[in-house]
Amino acid sequence: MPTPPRHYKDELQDWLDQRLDAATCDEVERHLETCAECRREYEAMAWTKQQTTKRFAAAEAPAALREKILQSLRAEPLRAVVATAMPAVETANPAFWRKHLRPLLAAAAVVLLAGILAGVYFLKPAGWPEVAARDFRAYRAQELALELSTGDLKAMETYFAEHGVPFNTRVLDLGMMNYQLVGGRVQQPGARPRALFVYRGPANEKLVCQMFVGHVGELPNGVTLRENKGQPFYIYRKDGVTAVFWQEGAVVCVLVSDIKPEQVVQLAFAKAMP
Amino acid sequence: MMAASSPNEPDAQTARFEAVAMPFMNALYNKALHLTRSPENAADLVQETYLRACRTFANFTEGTNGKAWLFTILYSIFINQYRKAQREPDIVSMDEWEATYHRELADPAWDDDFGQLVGSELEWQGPEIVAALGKLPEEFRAAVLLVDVEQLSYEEAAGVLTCPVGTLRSRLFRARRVLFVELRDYARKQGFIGGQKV
Repeated sequence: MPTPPRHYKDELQDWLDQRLDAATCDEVERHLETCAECRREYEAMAWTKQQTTKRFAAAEAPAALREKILQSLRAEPLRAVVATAMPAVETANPAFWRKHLRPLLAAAAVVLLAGILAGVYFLKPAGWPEVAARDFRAYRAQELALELSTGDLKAMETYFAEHGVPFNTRVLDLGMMNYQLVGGRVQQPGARPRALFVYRGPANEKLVCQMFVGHVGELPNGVTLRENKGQPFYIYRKDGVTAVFWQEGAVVCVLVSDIKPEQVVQLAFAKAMP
Repeated sequence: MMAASSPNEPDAQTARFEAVAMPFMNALYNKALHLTRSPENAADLVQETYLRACRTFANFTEGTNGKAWLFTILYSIFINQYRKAQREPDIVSMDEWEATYHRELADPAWDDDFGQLVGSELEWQGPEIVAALGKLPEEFRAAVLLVDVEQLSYEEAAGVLTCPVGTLRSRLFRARRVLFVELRDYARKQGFIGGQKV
């Protein structure tokens, strides 16, 4: 019995948006010559895209807005640099800045000075995945000392709260997966502090978790995106180290290890909270 | 590379930021306007986006798409600060509209009607698209704006909306179907198609 011809619903959009390889393009083209249903679907889609692209004229931003933005960017020459070292505060609106700019800048200047003296390596353009991987390697090489050695999750959370981490750190309980908490430390205290805590697996595998204020939208390209229960996870692999990032409220979380990549991903899937 | 190795660097950094970011102000404002539906809120949202972007400029990788990076920040601020406060307009039911779409496609009069539809567009004024787009749920609207208007790749648009590429593709697919039904409906009501033009 002959197989009924299949339709090319998904491919039609990919074809329209030029995301198909040449061979599939030919296949779709041939199919459209004989399938009225797909041809209509394509016609409708192509016409709609054309209308949206053509007629959705971009609104011109008010001329005064450009000046206003440039003035605020240039108002304090140090701002651009100072602020990169600050936690990513969720500001209410520009009025917030008008009211709090000077005190914040004063505080940030102190932070910057401390950061410069300490060598603010987190500002390197390498980005978070590289920083997370570097911290993991440093811990693995025993070059990163823990400030608190404990297997007690609550004690670890209290330590972070008392040592300048500006959010309630949720130290993951990985006991069910046979990973035991070993301890932790505050990375880059004072600037954008990161709660760093480490686990030991059943065969002495090492796993590092970090949490800090930020947004996954600031992660660099080169990511593999996975989804679990509607929550996105951002996966980076380099030199045998896997880093899996996800967002929990205003906090970015990352698990890093040199165990099998899928194991790191599954640990993140199991413990992440939307 | 340290961010403040010389006293002159902050000015240079601000200038570098401006060179990367300011060319996209109209695009950002356009997107902000369609998200907030208020010129005042759109201006505030764009200004906040630039301030936030400047603060996190160290995280931007030169050579990557600056527009996509700025959209990501803008969308994040919109989600956190504006979306909760604004009332969504009467949103269409995607399933309902897709059912209508399939009926349209199966209509024996399709070929005639579609020909008339394509011919009718010259008589349109433009706001029909805006009105049709406004009926889409925000995530779907954003997908169309980013891909069809701002010409971002699926990967870049998915990054902005912090969703998987597959989700972006599906939203775009469904959004285009709804837009088509809305525009065709408009053309029919105006008498441009269906042989009833007056």
